[in-house]
Amino acid sequence: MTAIVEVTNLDKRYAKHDVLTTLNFTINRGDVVGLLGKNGAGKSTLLECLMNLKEPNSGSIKLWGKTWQTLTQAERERIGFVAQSSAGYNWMKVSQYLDYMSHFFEHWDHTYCDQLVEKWQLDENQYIDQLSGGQKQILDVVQALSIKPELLVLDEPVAHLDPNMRRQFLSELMELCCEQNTTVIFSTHIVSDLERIANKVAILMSGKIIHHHDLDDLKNAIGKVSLSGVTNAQDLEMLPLSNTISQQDTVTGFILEPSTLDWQNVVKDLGLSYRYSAINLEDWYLEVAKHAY
Amino acid sequence: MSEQLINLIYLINAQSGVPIYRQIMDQTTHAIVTGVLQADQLMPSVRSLASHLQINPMTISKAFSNLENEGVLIRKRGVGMLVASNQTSRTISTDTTNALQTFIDLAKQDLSNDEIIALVQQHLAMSRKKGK
Repeated sequence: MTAIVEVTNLDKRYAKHDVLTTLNFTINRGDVVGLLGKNGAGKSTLLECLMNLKEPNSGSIKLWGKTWQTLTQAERERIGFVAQSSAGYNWMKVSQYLDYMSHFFEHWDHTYCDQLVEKWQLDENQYIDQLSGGQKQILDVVQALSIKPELLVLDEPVAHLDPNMRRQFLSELMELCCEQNTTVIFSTHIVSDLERIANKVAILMSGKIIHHHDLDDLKNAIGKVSLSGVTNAQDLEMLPLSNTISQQDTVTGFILEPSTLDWQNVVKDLGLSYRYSAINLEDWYLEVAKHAY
Repeated sequence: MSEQLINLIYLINAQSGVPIYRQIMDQTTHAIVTGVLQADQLMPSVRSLASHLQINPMTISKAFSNLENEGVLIRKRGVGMLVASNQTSRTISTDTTNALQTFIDLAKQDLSNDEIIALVQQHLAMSRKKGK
């Protein structure tokens, strides 16, 4: 596996407030990583550090094995970025903005850009100032995709889009991943989108990545388990259960991460009966968040 | 494969607890058993399915590879994935239907529909792991 992004011992502070603390994180080529975390968790700060828009207090970030300072201009042009808020240029028309941006990127694909503008019904003659929040976001996405990026960094890219536009964007993103083997990291609060398009999921909490899993492995593992016939709570210590609640001889808890332990057999060996129900990623995230605070 | 047929076969529920690759596997197998997909029929490409369903291409590849390992699909170089020649629609026997109905009647006394589905899927997954 080739690491495209390597974050090592990253620290970022705003005044005395620690946002990212000794954060370590690796993304391999072709991975689509969904980044979850509550508001203010530091997702945007992390993505902005990746894009060299914010300087870390310590630690290192390497893209394709290089620090930002040693990346060549050609390598920097392989990175697409959509920020949470638009860059401005409100006085420009859509066509002027895209033309202006195209000059910064040698490999800007004009045909593809035109196709996206037409497909997503952006009016080229409209001033950016007159676009809705969703249209501004689409314009940013068009700009980021038109360079056919090898690495795409997206900060809540679909937050302002209606469901139809969201699906169209996700569809285009998947096309790009197939065509270019693009590596993607995106922050989102829409967990169902993450479940569709990501193959890895990470949770940022208290300045650290506290979970980073292969999505399928995670979904195969997580669930809610109720154990009946429990007489000795210590029997359960070896089980990978979190957030447990006991009621008489029944203990209910959650499996929140993949484990190599064949817990069903352990439960049978203990003479307990169990009931298992799968949970979805949103339930998982909420339980993890509950556990972490 | 037409978009209409893809829509008929695949209905992905990203919010279910079942991993998406397994939903694709199960829905492909179901389409074969019910005759919607025929033996030797060409499957849609990973790219078209990923784009149409808005699903990560690695997830589609994983589902197709697993189905290939199970002998449900075969990979033909330069062509793509085909439904294996020996895969045909099957009539479900009366015994199986009756056993299924008895199981559902019993399970409904304690479990919700979602829990019954999860239970069946969990046991199928365990059977797969044990190579049954």
